[in-house]
Amino acid sequence: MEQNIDQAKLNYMNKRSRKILFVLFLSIALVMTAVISITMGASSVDLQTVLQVIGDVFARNDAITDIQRDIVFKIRLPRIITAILVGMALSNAGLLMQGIFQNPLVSPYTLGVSNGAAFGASLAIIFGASFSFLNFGQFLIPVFAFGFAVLTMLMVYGVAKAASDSSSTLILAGVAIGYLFSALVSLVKYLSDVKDLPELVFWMMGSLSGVPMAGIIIMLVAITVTMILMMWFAWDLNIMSAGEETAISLGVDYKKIKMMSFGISTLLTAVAVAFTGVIGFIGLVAPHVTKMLIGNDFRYAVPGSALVGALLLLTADTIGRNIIAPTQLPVGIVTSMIGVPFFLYLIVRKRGK
Amino acid sequence: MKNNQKRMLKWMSCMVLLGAMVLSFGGCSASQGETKAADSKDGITVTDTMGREIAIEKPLEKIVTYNSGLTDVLVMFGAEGTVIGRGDSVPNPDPSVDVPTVGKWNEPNIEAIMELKPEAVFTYAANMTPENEQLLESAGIKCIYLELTDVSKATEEVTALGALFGNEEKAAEFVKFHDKYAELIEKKLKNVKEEDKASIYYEGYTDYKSVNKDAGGQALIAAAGGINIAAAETAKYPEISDEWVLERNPDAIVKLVSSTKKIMGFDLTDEAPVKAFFDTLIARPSWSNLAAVKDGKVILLSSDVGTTALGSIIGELYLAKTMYPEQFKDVDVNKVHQELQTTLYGDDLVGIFAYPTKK
Amino acid sequence: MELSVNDLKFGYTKKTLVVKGISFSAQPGQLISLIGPNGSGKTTIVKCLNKILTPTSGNIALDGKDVKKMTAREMARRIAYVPQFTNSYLSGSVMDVVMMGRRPYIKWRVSDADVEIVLAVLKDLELEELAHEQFQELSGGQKQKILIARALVQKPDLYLFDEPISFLDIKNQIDIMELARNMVDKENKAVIMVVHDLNMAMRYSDQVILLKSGAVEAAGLPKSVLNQKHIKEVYGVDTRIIEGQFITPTYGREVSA
Repeated sequence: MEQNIDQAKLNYMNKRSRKILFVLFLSIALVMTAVISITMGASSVDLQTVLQVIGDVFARNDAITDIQRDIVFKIRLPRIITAILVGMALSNAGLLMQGIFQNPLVSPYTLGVSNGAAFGASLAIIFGASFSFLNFGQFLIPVFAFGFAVLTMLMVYGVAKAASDSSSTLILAGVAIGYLFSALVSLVKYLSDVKDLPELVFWMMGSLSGVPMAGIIIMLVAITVTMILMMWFAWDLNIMSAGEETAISLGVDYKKIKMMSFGISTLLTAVAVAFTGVIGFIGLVAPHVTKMLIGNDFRYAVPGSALVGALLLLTADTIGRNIIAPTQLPVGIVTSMIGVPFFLYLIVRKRGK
Repeated sequence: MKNNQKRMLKWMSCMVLLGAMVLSFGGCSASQGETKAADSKDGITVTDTMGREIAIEKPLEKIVTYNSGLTDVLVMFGAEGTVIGRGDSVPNPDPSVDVPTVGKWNEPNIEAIMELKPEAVFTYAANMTPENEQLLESAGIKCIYLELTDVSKATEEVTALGALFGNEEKAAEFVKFHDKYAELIEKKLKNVKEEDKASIYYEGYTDYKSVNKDAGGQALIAAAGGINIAAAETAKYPEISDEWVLERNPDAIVKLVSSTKKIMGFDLTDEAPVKAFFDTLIARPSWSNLAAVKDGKVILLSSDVGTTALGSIIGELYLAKTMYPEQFKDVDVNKVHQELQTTLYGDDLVGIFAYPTKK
Repeated sequence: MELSVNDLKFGYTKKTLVVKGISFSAQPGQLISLIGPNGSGKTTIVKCLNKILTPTSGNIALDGKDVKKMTAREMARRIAYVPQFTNSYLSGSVMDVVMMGRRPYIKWRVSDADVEIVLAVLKDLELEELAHEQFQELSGGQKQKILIARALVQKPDLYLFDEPISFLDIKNQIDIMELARNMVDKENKAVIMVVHDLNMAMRYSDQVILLKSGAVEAAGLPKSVLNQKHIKEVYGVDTRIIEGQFITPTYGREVSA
């Protein structure tokens, strides 16, 4: 009998090391994808050129032009970093929401945040000229998108609170308010001049290019801080999924953790959407893929889902940049086109077992 | 209940209207047969953008328009009074008269048009279904597609419009003006060899949204003697890779600025916001390394002088001068525009239409 | 350990109380059943004991210390709670679910000792085979036992069970009641349980508290509380009490071909 326990313990330990290995594997895969991605693009800058450009940093190489240097450092690198950060942010926002609301269908989109952000962006795009007194410059759209994303979350939370604090009312309120904002976006689109529509449509499809340095730093800070918090409270988050009563009886401050999760997922979604527009699907699928691969334990799922989200978005964007280059496919389209089949495959494989 | 009644009333009035139209149409066609034979010379026949033949008896007096580019031309003809209804994005041609809007620019409201009883409706062909077209035609309302988005067809279209609105003299003046400067461009570029032609990156209102060979922007570039670097792309309005633009290193860059940005266009005179917009544009990653930026061959064009009738003269000149500053150093486009405004519109030009402008 | 409840009152609004002044105490080695019709306040009392709900007034003390002054973690080490059985969605393996019970002791890292405790408990319950199964794929009875295992690894002094055997078949009902009895007899723990099945309460309880509309109707030994008079009073139904029998066949009859 003792042997049985030892065997089971070994099993458990093995599973744990497998999870750690998987996180490591994902990190390596992400680094490799990033390396491949930086050597691919619509211009002729390839692996060799990239190596020369990197070498040029240490010892001046006259064969390298300023444009080649800029393509590597000012265009591809920021874009790859943006893809990684946004993928991480959306995926972790989804992971948190799904855990806290005990509902596998929740994502930043289900709770209406993206629609709220889209409405903010549409106001900034269509009526931008009228807001010039605010002096936000190129940050006008991000600021509006961020503001409305947060406003949406507060509205959803307020409505849910006024009704009753259960998860299902929260989701219902989110879906309803999401519809309201999407109707408002349609209204703004409907009432707006034809000439501004492409910009709005473009924004609604999401784009990872042209995010200013300040935006990348803001995202980096937001992700670092929230990831530390999520890892710190990983056990509490694990237990949240068992429901309010169990969580409290196991010594978790349910209200505090819920508020914190709410704040974190709003922040992550809002910063990502603010700088890159509506990139669907990552927030729903990446956490599920992670859970299918390494389970629900937040201690592994947090880094895991960040890496899966980053990997998925970076792959999608690299494909989008190259498939019909120099024309670029909006990343949202590619994400869904590669993400959905992969997701369905995982579901079928899991059920088939 | 109230709503239902209202709807009933609307339906009934619609039916009555339809009946009346069918009757009048019948009467009309009978008398038409006689007059046609008597003096077919009085009839007006033109060909529209879609190649359809449009025949009317006398110049149009009452029209509904969904084409924002048309307004400018009507004002030129002094025919702004003919507009009795307009799409929501069409500027009111005569601010002293309150012309009602009849639906969205891309969704003509058939019922509202019928109630106004115009002689003709001007829309973009893409926004008119065959069913609606038939419905309007059967009510004696002509559907005319003179789109004014392809600068290479501008003179034909303006001529056709001149005939339709009975101001052939003004149309001829426009064509004369147009041809004078088209010839000028041709003359100036005569000695530019094919391989020396300037390549140009054309950007629409959205960042990195360009045009391929099928879009209106292509005609503008071609007329100004340039080569569109994105001509071969699949999408009509492709989003172009930033690094590709850098590597192609075009000789010139043009960006169209939407009138809704309210920094360029008629009656706007403050250069500061335009300069700020321009500075942001050329501050894009690595753009300082582009030949076009180094050589000062980057220009912002107001949408008023883009793919419009006006663009076929002024837009082309601005583009040509940007691409070939040497050849056009004696041409002051703003002065040409001023002259055009005085000759064809009879007033003074106020506004910013291009930036930066060189003498 | 001693739990003492003194004049406990609870109401969702100030005016209408669901629990109208309840007092009782629980010692180690005691299984106390809370019984009464739906809406009599049984579950509410349990949730107050556990600080899921905050009492309107009254006092709950654990070894003389007011629970209001105890931290959540301290509470969780002393009182475990098995929620009303629902088919709630819980993802993860059986190990993951049971490991949650170690939360009051774990800071971040799961120690070998934690794993051993979990496995030992699973073995005691003869559930070690299920350790790596997905919780979601178990039967209702298995799930309920796993949730009890989760409470066991908390190593508390007091267990609170909220209707642990509703919706289960008779075999599982008996299994779970025996389990509870074991904790009391062998481990000298205290168990407070909300039950609907009067037969089970009669058979397994040391003490029974019969509630009616948030107040105690009768309390004491099962035999003295669960009599025809009290049951008629509280539930409004007539019963026959037959010693040693669980089921009183009233409607069953042979079906003729």
